[in-house]
Amino acid sequence: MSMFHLGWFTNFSNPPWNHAWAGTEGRDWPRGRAHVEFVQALERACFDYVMLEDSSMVSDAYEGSTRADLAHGLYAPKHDPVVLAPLLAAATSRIGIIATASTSFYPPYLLARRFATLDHVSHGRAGWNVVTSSEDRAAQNHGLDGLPPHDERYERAEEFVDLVEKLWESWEPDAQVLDRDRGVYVDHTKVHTLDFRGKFHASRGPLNLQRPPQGRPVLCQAGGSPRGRDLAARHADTVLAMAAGPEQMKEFRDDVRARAVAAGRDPDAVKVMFVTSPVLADTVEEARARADAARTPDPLKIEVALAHMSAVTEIDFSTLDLDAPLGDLQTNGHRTTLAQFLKHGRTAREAAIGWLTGNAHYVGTPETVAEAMGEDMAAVGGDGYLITGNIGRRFVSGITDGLVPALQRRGLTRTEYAHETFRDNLLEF
Amino acid sequence: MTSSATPAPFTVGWFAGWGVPDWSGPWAGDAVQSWVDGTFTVETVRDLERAGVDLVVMEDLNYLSDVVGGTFEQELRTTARAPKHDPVVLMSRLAAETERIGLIATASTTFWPPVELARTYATLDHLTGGRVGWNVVTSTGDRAAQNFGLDALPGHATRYATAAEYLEVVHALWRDGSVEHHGEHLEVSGRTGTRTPAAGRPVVCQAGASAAGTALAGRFADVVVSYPPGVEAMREFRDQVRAAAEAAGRDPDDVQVLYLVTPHLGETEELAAEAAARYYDPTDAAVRRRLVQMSGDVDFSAFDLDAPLPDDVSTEGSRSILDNLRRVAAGRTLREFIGSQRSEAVRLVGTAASVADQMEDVLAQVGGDGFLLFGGGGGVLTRRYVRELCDGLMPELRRRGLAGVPGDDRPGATLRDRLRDRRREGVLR
Amino acid sequence: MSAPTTTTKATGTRTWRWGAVTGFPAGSPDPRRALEVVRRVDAAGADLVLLEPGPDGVDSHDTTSLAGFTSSLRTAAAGVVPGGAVDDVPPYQLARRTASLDHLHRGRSGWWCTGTAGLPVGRAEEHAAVLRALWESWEPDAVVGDVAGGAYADHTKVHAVDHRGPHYAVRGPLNTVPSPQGRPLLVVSDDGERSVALAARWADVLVLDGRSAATGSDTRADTVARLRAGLVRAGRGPGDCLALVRVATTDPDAVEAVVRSCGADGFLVDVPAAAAAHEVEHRLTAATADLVRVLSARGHLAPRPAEHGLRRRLLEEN
Repeated sequence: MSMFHLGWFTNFSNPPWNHAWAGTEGRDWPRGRAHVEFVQALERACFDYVMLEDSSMVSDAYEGSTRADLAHGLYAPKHDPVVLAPLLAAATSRIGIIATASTSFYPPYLLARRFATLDHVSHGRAGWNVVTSSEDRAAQNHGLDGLPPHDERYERAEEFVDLVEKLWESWEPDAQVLDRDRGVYVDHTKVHTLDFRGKFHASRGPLNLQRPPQGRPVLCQAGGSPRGRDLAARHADTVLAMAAGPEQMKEFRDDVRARAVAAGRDPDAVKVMFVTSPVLADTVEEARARADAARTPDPLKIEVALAHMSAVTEIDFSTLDLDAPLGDLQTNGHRTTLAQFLKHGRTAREAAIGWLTGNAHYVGTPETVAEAMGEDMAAVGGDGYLITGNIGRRFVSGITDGLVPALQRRGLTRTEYAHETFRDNLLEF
Repeated sequence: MTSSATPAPFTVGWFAGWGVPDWSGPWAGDAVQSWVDGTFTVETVRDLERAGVDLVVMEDLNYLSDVVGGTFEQELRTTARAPKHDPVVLMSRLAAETERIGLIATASTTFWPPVELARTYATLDHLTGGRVGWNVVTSTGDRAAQNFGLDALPGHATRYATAAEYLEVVHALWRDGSVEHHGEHLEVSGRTGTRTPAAGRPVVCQAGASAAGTALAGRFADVVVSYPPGVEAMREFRDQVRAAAEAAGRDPDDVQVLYLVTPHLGETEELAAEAAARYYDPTDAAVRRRLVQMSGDVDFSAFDLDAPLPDDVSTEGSRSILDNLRRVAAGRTLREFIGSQRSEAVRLVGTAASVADQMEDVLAQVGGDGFLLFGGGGGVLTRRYVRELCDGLMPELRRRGLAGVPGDDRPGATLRDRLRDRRREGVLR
Repeated sequence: MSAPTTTTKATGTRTWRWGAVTGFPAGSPDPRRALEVVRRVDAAGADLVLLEPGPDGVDSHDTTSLAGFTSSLRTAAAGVVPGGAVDDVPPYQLARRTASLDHLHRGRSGWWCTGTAGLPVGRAEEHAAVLRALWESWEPDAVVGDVAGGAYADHTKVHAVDHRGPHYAVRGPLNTVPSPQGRPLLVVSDDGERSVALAARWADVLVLDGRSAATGSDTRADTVARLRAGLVRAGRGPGDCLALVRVATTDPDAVEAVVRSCGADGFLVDVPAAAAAHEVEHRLTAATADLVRVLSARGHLAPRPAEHGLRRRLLEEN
């Protein structure tokens, strides 16, 4: 079995604030120190990257009120990951840092410039998670009445990514010559205007800064719809995937790889990372008991799940009968997330609990979980896991000081970084 | 909240050495490497500081023992006492890495030249902005003496008489920058020039529980490290120390007696009980580890494990330890009582709330003054354990106004100011 | 940015090694200034910083603590080496705290023996032998971390020292793990023939005094020659202990002349940190900017990697 990759999926919002090991981070997290220490722990465990998702709204989709969103700290408060990223970069030296930015709201030039700068200050460790955004409430914060329809968003995104990549390439790698004798800092013949005019976007170019150290920052893509997968296949270095069990995992990965081949790329250049949230304890029994306890359908948990789902689909789940069949629900927002949710149960109550605990694919001691992850990954063919879950220090320590050493002892994950830059490490195996 | 209407704030410290944490357990992480360059301790102490722990006491030993079985084998298997770096050096690093927490390091009056000791702690006092302390030990073990040109350790009485003179000399050096001392045990003539800052002298901490140790503590100590077994013995010991302070003409409230404890925490009482059961389980490995920890000049592994400790064993090095052992054993066999015996005053097991209750109750019965959290000599010391204390227990104590609240936040406040403030004012906010 | 290129090599097969000597006498403004000095000198590409005890050898801050304090500069590549006298502390304590310090600095520290004058004959030599024996009392691969077998270290690779000499009796072994660079760096100051012999047998660096004209270049050249010959007699390579000449000036021509005239391997520039802040700043700028820039342009200095510890950085060819 060859090695697989590790990432962590989180955001710049509140770590858990009201449970047994919450510490005082509910108050202190906006300063960023908790996130810095968290990413340092990931780097110690040789993770490939941390991925910071994002959104830009206070949601009132549930009950037509912001109450649930704010009372549970769901989509707000949430700080800008692009601003957190340099802090994380300064405190680390090898781990990749992926920040989310939306193709629906950013001007392409601004985005290209921001991530190129991030790639420079992080010494080639920046990544961009390409999202099209999924909520009208977010769009309304950016001067729009609502989002374009799902497929049009992806059409716009395709063109957006093309333009951003061209901007990154507008400086040849050796444009900066530092020729003291001739007094030339940058050779202007190696910096090119683009005059890009597309259906949705236009930019004259060139970018006003040197080519990023990685050529272009790592691209990450998270949408699981066919349009999303195509975008990933054409552009992404890493893809986030939600799948339950090795069969679904393999199916997803094989599909993305086939699309990459169809787009003329080497399928090994696209790393598929499966989202999971292991439940770890000193004994298997204790871990099972914890997983069972998480599935107790108490009203608070159900509200949290439904308010979450309302925010990303803009369907008001508070109006649904908790125990009635869910029926056919449609959204212009997060289609994959909704589909995943609906798979978890027949009724809103069942689906809510199933969805909240749906990432608990692995339950056991560090040793038994490492063993199971290795077996599944062998069956799937590779790439890796994207850990998610609360970033409280104790949970993180369980992963980085418990699970990862067990994976490393089995030769399943790296024990040191082979390369300086993010993409080189991602492509190492 | 239990016991009293007005909470009585107490001191919470951390007790450890610069040695090997748990390096082989399920949550050990990279501890086998990360302790060596100080990373593990630096991270731990920064966590403790963030959580509001008042001070750190770093113990030490000056030899690698072959008392057990005549070889180094058991010492190096169990890592209960070795390898161990010099904690005084680590204090200088921690001075740069922390801002508020008290830093107390062990140094031996039997082996350190007094002028060098005074100079070193005066420099540390400058580097820490008045946060340093000296844990005074007279050392144990002929093997230690043999590393310093002596065939055997001086007798118990001589060591303590020397220590008293030594403390006078060091205080004179801190006060005046030079000393001319001709005593019964010490001839010291020298200067450091490095007076301690105007705020005062480093905090003095003392750890020996014999009559001579208690008398020394009464004369000089600000803080006393102890683990008398059980509430009764704790109160008795504290009363002795306070009486010794009064006999030396000091205010007994100027001495704080801190008790070693290794709390076992869980989200539920059951989970905490399971964690405790694992820690106290008298496995063969636990018995071996305990035997090594106990073997100063006496090879405990040579005794019949299934018989009581013989009455005729005596040692110059660890008189108080042996007396304690016989009392705790109460006629039981070695195996019966050491298998689950640990270096701690009372067992604390439960949720953060119930452990906080227990701490409050114990101190109400004993009279004061606080606790030293102790990772069992490396036995349970993992990042995960530190986080349970910092993010579980400490916030609970803080919410109750018992600990974790800065006593004296004024710029320039010294460790002694803070200890005094905690004790007298109990400032809460 | 692109690295400055070296076009010529000044002496032998190595470019020059360089560093700074700084000190914090008792009563000096703020010993925490040590961080700034090390940071600046390191950023200029220095190989090491020596921390000197006070002028009369007594009234000084503890150099070991200052060295430990500066280990918080995790990015620093330069070594930081505290100085002291042979009998400030017992050799076991010295060997142990230096090993601990070397770990804090991730293999970039050591001990600087600032003088041997006035010691009984043989004492400094025996002291160095005891230090070496303690530093090597654990074989390099003694730590095994065998989880399955339950053994942290292999006790058959840890050895008592059992030293009994005229000056010291030390049983050993050290109760801590071996240094990341094998053993900490040993630096010896030249204060006469015996110190040169001591360095030739045990040390990695010999510090020559080039601060005044009183000790002329002939004397220094003679010392360097004796060091090289002594190294060969001791069965070591002639380049296995560096001769670094300590200078008070920051004038590039003067420094170049001093180093060349005695055939030293490089220089150590004085940065007296006890002076007023603006004087220290001026001195640091002169040393780190002007001096280094000019000597680099002349091919004497070149940047070197620091991954493998201080000794390798100093002694490797390039």
